[in-house]
Amino acid sequence: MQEKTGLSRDELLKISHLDKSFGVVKALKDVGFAINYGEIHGLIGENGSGKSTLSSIVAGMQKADNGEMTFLGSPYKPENSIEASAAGVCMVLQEIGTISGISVMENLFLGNGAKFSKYGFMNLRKMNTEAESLLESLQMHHLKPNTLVDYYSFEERKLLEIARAVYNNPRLLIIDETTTALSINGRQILYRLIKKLAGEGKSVLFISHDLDELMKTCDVLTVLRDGVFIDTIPKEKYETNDIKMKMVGRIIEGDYYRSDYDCTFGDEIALKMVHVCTENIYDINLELHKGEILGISGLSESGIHDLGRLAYGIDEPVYGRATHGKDNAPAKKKLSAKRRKAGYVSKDRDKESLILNDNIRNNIAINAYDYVKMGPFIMPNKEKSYVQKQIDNMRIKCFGMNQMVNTLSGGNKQKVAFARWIGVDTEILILDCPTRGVDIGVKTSMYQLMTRLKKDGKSLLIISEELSELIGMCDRILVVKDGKITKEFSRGRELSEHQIIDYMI
Amino acid sequence: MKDKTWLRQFVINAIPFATTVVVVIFFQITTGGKLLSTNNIRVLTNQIFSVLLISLAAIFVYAHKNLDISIGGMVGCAMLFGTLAVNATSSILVGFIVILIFCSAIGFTNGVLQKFFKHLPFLPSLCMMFILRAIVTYAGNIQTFKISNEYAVYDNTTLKIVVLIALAFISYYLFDYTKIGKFNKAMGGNQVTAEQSGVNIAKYKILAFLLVGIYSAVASFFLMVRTRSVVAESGNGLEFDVMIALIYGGMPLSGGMKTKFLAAVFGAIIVTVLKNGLIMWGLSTGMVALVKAIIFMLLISVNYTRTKGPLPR
Repeated sequence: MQEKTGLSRDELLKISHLDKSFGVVKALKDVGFAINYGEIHGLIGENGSGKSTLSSIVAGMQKADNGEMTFLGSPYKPENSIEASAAGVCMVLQEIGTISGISVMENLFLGNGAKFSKYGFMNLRKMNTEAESLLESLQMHHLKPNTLVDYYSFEERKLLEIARAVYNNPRLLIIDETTTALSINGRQILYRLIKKLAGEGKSVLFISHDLDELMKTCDVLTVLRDGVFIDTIPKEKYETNDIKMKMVGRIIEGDYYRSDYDCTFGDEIALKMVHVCTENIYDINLELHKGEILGISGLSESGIHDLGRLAYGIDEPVYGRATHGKDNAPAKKKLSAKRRKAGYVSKDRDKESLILNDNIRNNIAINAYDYVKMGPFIMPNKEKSYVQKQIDNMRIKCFGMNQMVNTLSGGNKQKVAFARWIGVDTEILILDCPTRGVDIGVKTSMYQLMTRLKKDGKSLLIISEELSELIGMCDRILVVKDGKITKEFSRGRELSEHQIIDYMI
Repeated sequence: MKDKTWLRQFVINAIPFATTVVVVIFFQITTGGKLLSTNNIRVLTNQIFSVLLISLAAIFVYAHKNLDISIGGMVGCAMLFGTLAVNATSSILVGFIVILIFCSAIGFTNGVLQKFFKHLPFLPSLCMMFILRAIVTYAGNIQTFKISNEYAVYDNTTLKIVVLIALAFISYYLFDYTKIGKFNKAMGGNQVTAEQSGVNIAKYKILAFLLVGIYSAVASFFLMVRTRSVVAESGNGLEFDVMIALIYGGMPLSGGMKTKFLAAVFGAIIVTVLKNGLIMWGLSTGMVALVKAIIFMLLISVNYTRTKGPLPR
């Protein structure tokens, strides 16, 4: 059937001359490449390079302005994701895509309910057996079909989504930035699955920011830059610096972390946690000093994210306390930004740290109203010049402060979330996965910013699942396992990921 | 890079104003000039007054993605207690103070209760409506409460206009130039973000409901001196008039930054002129309600189909 359209025998999906714009922003310009049968095809590029736009067009979530796609030898133009999935294209999204309030199996068989129903009644037992065998085959036995999805963590729900996509038996599986949400364990499951699919002659389009991961997993890599197709590189020709250069368009030096090994910081304590306990955390004691970068490492379900929320004061400990500053002021939720000593950037950018349906101005100014007031009134001119200063300072790529935040790329969104706290001169910054889903260019500027903040005597608490980042940036690293601190490392040239992993798992 | 969004923004902002002008001109012509006759302007002012006044405060509640359904019951009850106070003390001032304290207390309670109904935020004001409505209906069925006709002097159009303009200015400044408005809009956009930025959610919700209480108190006072009697139906349906006015004025029910102060002003004018004009055409009250409902439905559908979630990029 391939011969008819003049396709090469091996091509499963051929994309040609794809264009897409959002208003004045051109997200894709004349993009074209092909994915072969049984191929693990990596897609890489900086934030805003058009990776997600491209994959969502293939998955039928939006339509291209121009261009054609050929799938399985016939023209392919999905109207929506249901049509795409019927044709054999399934996608696992970057952000969460399970439905809360219903069980694991109901999520698994979403849209496939007809298979289990008879005379309008659902055969739940059949559904349960089927779900069990599916999860078993994917080595996700820790997920129980009957449990509500709400009981599972972000990561486990992500795995569930992958299972759902696989159940639909796709010819092409698209995985968009999923690994950033997964721990090492979850990633292994995913890699195994990808290999298995490829072995069965199915194809995978794998999108990630993690170059090492892509180089390890994929047979072929396609590089996009600013919505333009740059190159498709086969596995034999992989070379890290070459790929990085193609991604960014300029030469990037291998090292973008802190270069100094000078671990001096003040004696003054900025943040202190004493015997902090909750349901997921046991007896955490830590001290963050003035001018120190303290890293917290651990698996994503080890409680490191809870620790960040407790340190900031969004959650209150069951026992023990978290305090800020030398006067030991308790970490409280309800304090205005001006009276607060700490700032917090959440891991969940779209749901927690940003007001997506609002402009950059309001997102940045929300912390600064106390600084641009005269009497009770907020002065618009002062507010605008304050926001503009932050935009320039953080080099946020935008048309202006009135641009909506949901039209920004991931890296620029994160910059907005940062700018909110940098502008008000926060003493303690608690950053939960600060570079999750952010490209190399933005990462570099984030690391430079962190180094500068340290020099200015600010204290930073970085919670991250990326060990290289912690080793590269922190003065001290605390390792958390099952809610307990198991080990402390100091900054050093010899410190390696393997040493830390031993205490994590 | 050129930013063309301002033009789009300008057009979007101009729509409620343009609609107001078109509606007024349309009814002015089709009623043969009766709409803007001296006599009818007085009627219109009275009709617009309560809805507009309360809408000016309700925008704060709508901004944080909520509704206040207790407004009608609150106004009815306030008129009842105000009437009782005036009759007991023969002082209009005491009557006003009683109304103000009562409405503020109800608004405050609505706000405080928000804390316990995070996922069903309209529930407290719904319960409040049932209670207050029941009191007014019960009292109104026993007897009609009246105050002396001498108090009609306070039902003065000039006074009302002055009060309305003053309160409109206060509301405008609070909404666009203070933390009360800014934070309520932010909470409508994303409450978690606001909370993590240190916004005292409970406090700003209480302030929003308290404002509705205070503005409703002023509206109740002027309704009391105009009708000078309280019946079972006093204040009935006012909350829905406010809701319809705000939606006519372009207020998104999803709250957030797109809530505009002017939605209250234009919405109240549009809905009142529409009602008034249709009655002048000779339509029955039932027919007017039907026309209003159809327009309301159209607006809601436009309001909701337009707002799509962000697509992955």
